[in-house]
Amino acid sequence: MSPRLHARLAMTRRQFLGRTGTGIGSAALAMMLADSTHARARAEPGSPPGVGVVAPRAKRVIMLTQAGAPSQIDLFDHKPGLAPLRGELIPDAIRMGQRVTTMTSAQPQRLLPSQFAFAQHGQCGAWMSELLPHTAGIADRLTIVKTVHTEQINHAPAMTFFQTGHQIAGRPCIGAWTLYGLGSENRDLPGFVVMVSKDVERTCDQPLYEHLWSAGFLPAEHQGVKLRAGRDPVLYLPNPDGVSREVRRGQLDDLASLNSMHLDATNDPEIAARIAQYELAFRMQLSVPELVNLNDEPEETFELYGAASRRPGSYAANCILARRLAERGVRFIQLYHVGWDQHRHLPEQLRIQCEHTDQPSAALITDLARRGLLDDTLVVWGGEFGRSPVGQGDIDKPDHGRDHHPRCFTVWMAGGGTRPGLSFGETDEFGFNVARDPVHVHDLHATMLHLLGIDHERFTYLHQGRRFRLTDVEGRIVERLLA
Amino acid sequence: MRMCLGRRRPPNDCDPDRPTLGTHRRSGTTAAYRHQRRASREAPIRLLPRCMPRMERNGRGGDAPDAPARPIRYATGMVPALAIIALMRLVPGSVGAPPAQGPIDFGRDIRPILADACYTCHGPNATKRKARLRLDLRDGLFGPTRDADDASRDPSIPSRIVSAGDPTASELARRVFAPDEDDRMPPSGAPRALSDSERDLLRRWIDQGAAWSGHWAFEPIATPQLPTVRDEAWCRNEIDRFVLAGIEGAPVAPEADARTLIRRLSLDLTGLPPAREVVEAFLADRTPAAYDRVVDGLLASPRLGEHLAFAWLDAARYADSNGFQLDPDRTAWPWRDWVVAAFNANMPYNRFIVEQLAGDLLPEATPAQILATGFNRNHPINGEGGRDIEESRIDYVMDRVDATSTAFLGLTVSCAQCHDHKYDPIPQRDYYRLFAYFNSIDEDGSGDKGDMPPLLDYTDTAGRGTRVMVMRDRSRARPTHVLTRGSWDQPGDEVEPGTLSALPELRDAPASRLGLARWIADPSNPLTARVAVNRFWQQIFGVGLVRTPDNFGVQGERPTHPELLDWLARRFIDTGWDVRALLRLIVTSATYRQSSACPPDLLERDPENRLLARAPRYRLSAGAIRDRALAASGLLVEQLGGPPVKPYHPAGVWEDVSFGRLKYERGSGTDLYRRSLYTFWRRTAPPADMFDSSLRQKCSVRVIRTNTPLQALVLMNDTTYAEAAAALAELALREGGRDDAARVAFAFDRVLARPPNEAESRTLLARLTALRGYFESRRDLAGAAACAGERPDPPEERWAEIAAYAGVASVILNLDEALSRE
Repeated sequence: MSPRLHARLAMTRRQFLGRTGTGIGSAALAMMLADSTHARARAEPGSPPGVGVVAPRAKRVIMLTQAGAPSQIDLFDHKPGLAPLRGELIPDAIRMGQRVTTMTSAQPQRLLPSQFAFAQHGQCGAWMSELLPHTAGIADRLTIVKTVHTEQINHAPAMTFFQTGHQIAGRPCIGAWTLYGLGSENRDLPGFVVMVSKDVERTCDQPLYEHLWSAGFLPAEHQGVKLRAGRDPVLYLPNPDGVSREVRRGQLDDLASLNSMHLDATNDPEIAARIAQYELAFRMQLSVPELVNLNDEPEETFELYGAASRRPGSYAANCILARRLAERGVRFIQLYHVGWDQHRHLPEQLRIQCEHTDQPSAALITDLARRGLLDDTLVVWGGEFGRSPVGQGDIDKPDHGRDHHPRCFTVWMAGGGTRPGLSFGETDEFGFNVARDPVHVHDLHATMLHLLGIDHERFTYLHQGRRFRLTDVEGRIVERLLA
Repeated sequence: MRMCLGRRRPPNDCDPDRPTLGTHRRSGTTAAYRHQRRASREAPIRLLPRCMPRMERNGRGGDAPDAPARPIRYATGMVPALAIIALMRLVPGSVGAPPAQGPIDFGRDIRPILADACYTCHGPNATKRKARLRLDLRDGLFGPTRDADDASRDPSIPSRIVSAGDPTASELARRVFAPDEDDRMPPSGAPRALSDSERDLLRRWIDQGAAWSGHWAFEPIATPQLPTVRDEAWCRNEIDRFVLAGIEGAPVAPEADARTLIRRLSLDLTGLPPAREVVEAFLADRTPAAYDRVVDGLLASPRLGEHLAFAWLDAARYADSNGFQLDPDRTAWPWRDWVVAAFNANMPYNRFIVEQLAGDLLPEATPAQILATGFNRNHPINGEGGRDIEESRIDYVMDRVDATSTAFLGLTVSCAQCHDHKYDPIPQRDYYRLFAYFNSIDEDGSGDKGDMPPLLDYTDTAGRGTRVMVMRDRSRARPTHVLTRGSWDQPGDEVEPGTLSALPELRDAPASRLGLARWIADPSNPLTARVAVNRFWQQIFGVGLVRTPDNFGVQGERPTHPELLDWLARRFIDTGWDVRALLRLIVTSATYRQSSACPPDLLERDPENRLLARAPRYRLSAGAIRDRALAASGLLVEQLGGPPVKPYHPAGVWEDVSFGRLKYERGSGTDLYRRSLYTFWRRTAPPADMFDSSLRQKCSVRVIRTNTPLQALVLMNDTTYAEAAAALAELALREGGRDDAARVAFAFDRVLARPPNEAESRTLLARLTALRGYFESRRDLAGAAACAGERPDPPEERWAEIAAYAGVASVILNLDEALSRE
């Protein structure tokens, strides 16, 4: 056994065995745990390759993933030139054989300009539609990228691509990569937390899959832990009925003392780890309910995030939780809001989704900024692809919508070293193709990792004999997005 | 530089190792690339191919990384002790490190370096090959340099890549030691640099005569001589000679005590703790044959088939639903029962292969043989609205190639889906030749009902009639094309079905799945028996002799005991692929019977137990942990087979993933207490208590074993475990004896197959006394704890006593020893 390990285990054992009947040698465990969750900010022995090789600008990430694909052409990508072309077939020279889903492949591809009013906002003059009044209010804090594009045209592979850099399930998601690279800063909470909210109307749902927050081939402790709304925010968190915290504490004391005896007999360091993990679970039983209990928030918080923030499980409530997680140093905070898949009833449904998400998204940025957290928190808002400037269904009827569109869509970022007040990239006059400054999903990932101080090309993990990266074999840092 | 807005990007060009700059910078084409790149910034860049090599590292220098060759893996948790262990594994001089002195073995010491650092550009992948140089082939490695025949070349530069015995005449040595950055290989900026010790190894290998051998796993299975060992007396069978020879005189661990052994045997072979009577009988019988009798009894138990089947379900990506959007239920369980029955009947493993891959094509195929082909219908089905059905169909075919090649051949054939394999001799064409075997199933990729055709009407042994998905070919074969860069809608050259070109051909095999199955199951296939033996070894020892069970290729790990692996594979074949005989051989070895306790100096020397100078000690799988709790508490219902069941599960999990569409309707009665093998497996929401299990999205043969707080929450708080603790408490009170000490010992023994020692007994009895006092004053809590789960409530006057015992039982069930195979 290495001298360091030996000394540590010996000390741990002494403390366990020397305890005097009132509680475990928790100091020893605290030491073990504090060390284990020690955040890696700079390259140091034990940190994965590529980590800490550039100066980090962001310490943590909040992803506000709008699942189902928000219509950028109705929200951010203002195309006044499209208005006179309403109802005309999209020129082949523009479409260039772009696949559509089989939902619209048989119908004429008629152009559909946005029916919503656009205006410029903030000092920076960013264009946004009337559906986003609150986001418009923070325009000067945002980096709006209008030229994000992806490979996939169906939800499941596209979302998997957006999260893992590959369209087939099985690779680690960006949250797992980040936690693997940087470790956790909070010893009482998981380092990667996922929350899902859904469209109240439930008309435009796309399902989400566990693999979207999976650690893939990375060690499983880097997988996202889903916080659920309601009584049990983490599965199996509460003690079973009849077992009080007092009873559990006594059981854990026994487990620690009996397990450390067995550690003496076998010398298997895995046993020390087991003791520590049981203690962390015990602490999570307090820290997680404390986290999700919004009773200690002042009235003003709920006013800022909107009335829906009082409803557990709403996007607005999750945005408040995202801020609380950021305050507690959780490394990667992943929100999903489901309900943007407006193939039909877009005029009505898009308005509803915006009403549910616009104010809380903007409030989160404002809230982080006034608490001094925005500087080192990178917030990313966007869907898995965009929606087409071509209409779906009869565009003269209110039940029309838009099909999927992978060639350009809008993602905005804030904080964490991004350049505020920037609108980046241009699409063509139809809003169909990128005209200037394309940003592939891999580029977005490369840029996000860069902001976290990680070199996306060196940050690899050996699996089945191949070094895998989040950005696969692609990705370039979009320097102009950086502050 | 890889914009291609007018086209979909092909699914993957998985080449993260692609060198970025280095000496190639001076090549003549660079300027052209640069020109295109500049142009692309100014104009819409729709027309450039996306996957053109990137020529710049985003403005940063291309300095070679100093990172260790392999990332450190925190295989078991995030606690520092483990991180230290992980670091210790990198310390030179520990087991598995290359020799600082002494003879160099090409396969062990040299090929891994070449593969990892050089094959990307000088290996099997033709499209990425630089300088027309192949270091993966003997001819390339020992051949002339590219300009050897050029009269004008600098005569001071070697004309051979490797000149045996003469490093100064070897271009390889010159390049890796070149002081000039432009000359040095690997080029600066490549993600994989060579360390000084690796360079030195290459030089010494050439100096020692540059002996070469083919990659071990592609060579025929040898018939190794049994090693002579000094300590003959220790050896119980041939396995021990190989292990002892590897230890080279260092001490082996003493034999584990009888109780540890019988619990180990029972957990390893049946996944359940031993029945008390079995333990007593074993302890009473001190004749040498007692051990063999126990082994035979366990091997004959129907629990064996269930246990072996559970691991196979991960390989077979078995689930009871389709996955994806609607995730409808499917009827896959008759296939699962086929697997259990096959193991319980000790079906020869070659038949196990043939029936699962091509049972429908056997002459006069029985319904059971057709049912077996459900193996390749276990893939997920994606019925997402708007999806092209041909894209879906091709996904299913690719999944079959992946599952078949991973599970039976241990190869990463899927790496050749988009391009030639970068490390192994598997051209892209080979991938599509395998693909062709599975390309003519009578299906069209449409639909998302639970059970999609082809279907078999099947009546199981219990008389239940069902329809099950199976394989059946169309009357006319579909033509198969190489798919350009793996894209389903970009067919290239047409190919015929065919087996892997780097492995021996099987003559007279039909060009059908049956031919493929026979080729895989043929004794001349160098991989199949090794892969199988390794997986069964992994099932017993926790890790395989090859620690990458899913990769026997050049980038996989070499076996810790190559001769033992070959000897076992040869024996396996010679005994008619007899799985039970193989298991018997393993568990009756002295190697197996060692104690797992590890003296500190051995932990230092061999932290990963590569020498097998002690028995492994590891945490049981989540399913086995649950089964063990049900068994110890007397709740387990040992009923073989049938439709899946729905035991306790946290509320709302299915509802969450499906937005309320799917409701988990918990079962009742015996459904709550069946083995975990029978728990309903929803692909979009696997059983929440089955931590570290494969997600069953694709074939998985690797064992995952982490240590997280979420596991502690499951094992202390899940209703299954609360009820098991209460039931074990009742059992101890009813049958455990007259006093507390006897009853606590009884409960302890039910879980651990041994009585507690004095210190353990004292700790638990003190807890019992404290809890008894507590629950007598908190009768409200006592009732809830004593009545946990759906089993009949005990009478109220006994609640406090049962609750106190349940509190102690929960501690016992959560002991690390109770969760582990010792």
